[in-house]
Amino acid sequence: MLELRNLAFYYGAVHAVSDVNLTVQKGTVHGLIGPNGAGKSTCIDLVSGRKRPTAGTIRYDGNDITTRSVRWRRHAGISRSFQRISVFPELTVADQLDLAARSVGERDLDLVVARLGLDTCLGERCKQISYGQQRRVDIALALLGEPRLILLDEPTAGLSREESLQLADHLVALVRERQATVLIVEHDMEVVFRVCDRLTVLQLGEVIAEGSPEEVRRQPRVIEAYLGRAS
Amino acid sequence: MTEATIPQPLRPPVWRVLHTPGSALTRVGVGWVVVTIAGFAAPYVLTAYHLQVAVQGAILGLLALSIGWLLRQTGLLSFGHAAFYGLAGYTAALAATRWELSTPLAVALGVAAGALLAFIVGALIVRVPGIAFAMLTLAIGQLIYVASTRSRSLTNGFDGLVASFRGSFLGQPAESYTNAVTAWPLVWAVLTLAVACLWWVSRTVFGRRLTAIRENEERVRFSGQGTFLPCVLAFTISGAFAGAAGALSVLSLGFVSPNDIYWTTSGVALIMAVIGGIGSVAGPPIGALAFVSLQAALADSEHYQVIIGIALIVVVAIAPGGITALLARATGAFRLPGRRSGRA
Amino acid sequence: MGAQLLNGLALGVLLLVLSSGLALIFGLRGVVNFAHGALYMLAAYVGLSISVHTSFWFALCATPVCFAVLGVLLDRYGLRFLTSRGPLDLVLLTFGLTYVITDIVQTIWGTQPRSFPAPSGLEGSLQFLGISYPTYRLFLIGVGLLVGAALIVWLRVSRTGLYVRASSFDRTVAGVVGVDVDRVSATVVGLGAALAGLAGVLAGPYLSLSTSMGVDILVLTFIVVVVGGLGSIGGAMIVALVLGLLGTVGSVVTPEVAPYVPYLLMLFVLLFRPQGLAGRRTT
Repeated sequence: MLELRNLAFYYGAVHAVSDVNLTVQKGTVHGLIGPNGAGKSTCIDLVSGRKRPTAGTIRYDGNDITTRSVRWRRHAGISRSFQRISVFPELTVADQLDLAARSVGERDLDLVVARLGLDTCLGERCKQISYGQQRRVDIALALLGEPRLILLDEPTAGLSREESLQLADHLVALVRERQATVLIVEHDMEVVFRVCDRLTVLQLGEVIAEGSPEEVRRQPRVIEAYLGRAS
Repeated sequence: MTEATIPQPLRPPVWRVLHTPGSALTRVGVGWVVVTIAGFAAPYVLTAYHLQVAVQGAILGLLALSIGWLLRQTGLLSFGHAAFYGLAGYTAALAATRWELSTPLAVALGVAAGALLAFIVGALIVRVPGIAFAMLTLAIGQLIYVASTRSRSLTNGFDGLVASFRGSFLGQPAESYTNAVTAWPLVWAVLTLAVACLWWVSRTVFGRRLTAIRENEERVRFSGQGTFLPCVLAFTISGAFAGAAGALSVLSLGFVSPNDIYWTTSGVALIMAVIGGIGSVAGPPIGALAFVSLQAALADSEHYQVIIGIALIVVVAIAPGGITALLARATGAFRLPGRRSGRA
Repeated sequence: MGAQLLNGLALGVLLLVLSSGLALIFGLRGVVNFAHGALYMLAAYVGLSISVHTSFWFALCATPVCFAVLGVLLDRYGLRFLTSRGPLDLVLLTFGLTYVITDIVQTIWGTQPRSFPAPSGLEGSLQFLGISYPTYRLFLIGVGLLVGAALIVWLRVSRTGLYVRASSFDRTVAGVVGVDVDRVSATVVGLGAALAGLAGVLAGPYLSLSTSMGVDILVLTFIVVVVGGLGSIGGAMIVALVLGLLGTVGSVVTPEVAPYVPYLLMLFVLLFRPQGLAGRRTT
């Protein structure tokens, strides 16, 4: 469904992403993990169109979308959430979800709202609701319009353990219902192991491991990347 | 992986939250009607001098409305709207006086010219980010000003252009609009209609999209919506209303000069809008009317500049919502329950 | 032609000093000081009064110092409390300040244009590269370029300068690095105001004083800063010189178009690069 080939992104001398190859199978939840600064968010930026790659291609459903605009990608079914919550502070939750729903032809907004537990804060302005609720609004914006490829950038950042797991379950349910594909960047390993079918591990912009969660967690290179080498 | 429990939708669905109850809309509608009708009584209540002040105040209120609405709806701050105002005035004056067109046509051309210039300017600079946009509008306003002072053959330069309108306009002889008694109903009707029109636009999907762009332009694009065209359209609409103010101005004064395009005209209108409060659509005209009343009360004091300046500073520092926010807090008016997009 | 080039340089240098001040304040505080032109105008008048009672040289030194103090006060008792407000509020505040300052100038010095005589010693003309050119303007060019160079050096070498450059590049740096933001901010705003003050005094004997001189140059300054790229002081300096040269050269070569040159330059650059030539940050 999604294929990244030799993807690279440099700014100046910094190689945020170099020679990344990644394939996400349709209908799966694919995790992108790695220590800080590994280039995971940059990959999301590249796939969603926020940044242009220095080299490499992005193929979606077999088509090369590397130069396509953000808007085109959204209408093609690629949506994303943001690591730093990106919502509309002064608008009410209902208003911003409604506007976004119209843009992508979402037919069952109430379902998404109920799924993410946002029905209690619909009439409030986004800047006045809790962090957890704002995070869910950010994700809800990405779930509207039945997107086929959902890119989630640390969706549980800043949430409590309970909120994180609850969100993970909600996401899985929604994804299964709508047969979507998910590429998720996450630090919370509990969430990762709960929802992901496959993992790719990045370190300093390069892929160092790939496979099922069980396979990956056992690889010494991965352990070393997270914990450092025992000297 | 665990199965999530599916919650039943217990609360009203989204649309019910968005939908404004008919009672609230009726209240707004009735309020508007009452104020509009009351306004028409002005010629019977005010002296000739005060009525003339009111006419100019209402025209400035229309200009302030155009600037304030744009700012409120899109977050775009324009210091150059006097360019559309002045161009409309010049176009109407030239059309009536030099090209000898009928008054309705001249006025329409004036408004169209203002809108067209706004469209061109908007298309050129709406993509410039943040405060740079505001700085550019100042520069463009001055550009038009310089052009108006230098095109002697067309605009008569610094001396300004005397406009003589002929024929009839809306049932009255066109020259009679320099009399405040004739001008007032027209100006007041245009102003109240403009407020109603822009209020309605704010509530459409287009208007709400503009507010979304103001709040988070990037996320709007990531939601699949373009941001360039809506902003250009909003800027054009705003420019059209500024043009209407300009056409009304030349109609009621019989005169237009480069002074109408100088940055101080834009600046004063902006200040009036802020003082009136841009949280509400009706705020800018209220600010303008309050302002000219104050000015008349001070009998054209030489120090009105320092008074404006201090008033602006005080309002921004202490009462950011302006007069309408203060009134809203005091009386509960100017607030629409249910739909609460936009500021204040 | 040579004289025209030097005229262009003179105007460019004035713009350089003024726009550096504006870029500095913006780079650190994120505030576009709409009162910058008014400060410049006030400085010209204040400088005139000081020089009438003492000497031009004293005015040249004292006025920027006074304005530095004014800037520090503005920052400490004004801007510091308003950092949480959006840029719009600060724009409006400085805009209101413009009206206040303009009124003060008109009240104290009247509305008639004034002239600021060049100091003795700088009157007359000099032979410079084969051209006879007013001495004062050569002095102005020299001082302006010197101040610009000193500013660049300070930005590169001093810790405060490094901090300013870093936070011009990325606002989030401010506050993270652990420097006393308030004290640095007062310094920078004071410096920005001092530059406006210096430009005002320098401009006095060159251009005549009027109550519209503030806005006239403010518009040009805005164009310089926006074209150079908001937040880039070096960019502003280069564009200032270019604009000065283009403007006066233009008035010789194509007098009809000359007044429009700054605006056309602005439109041309921004059509292709909305963030300005050296701009990186979006507000």
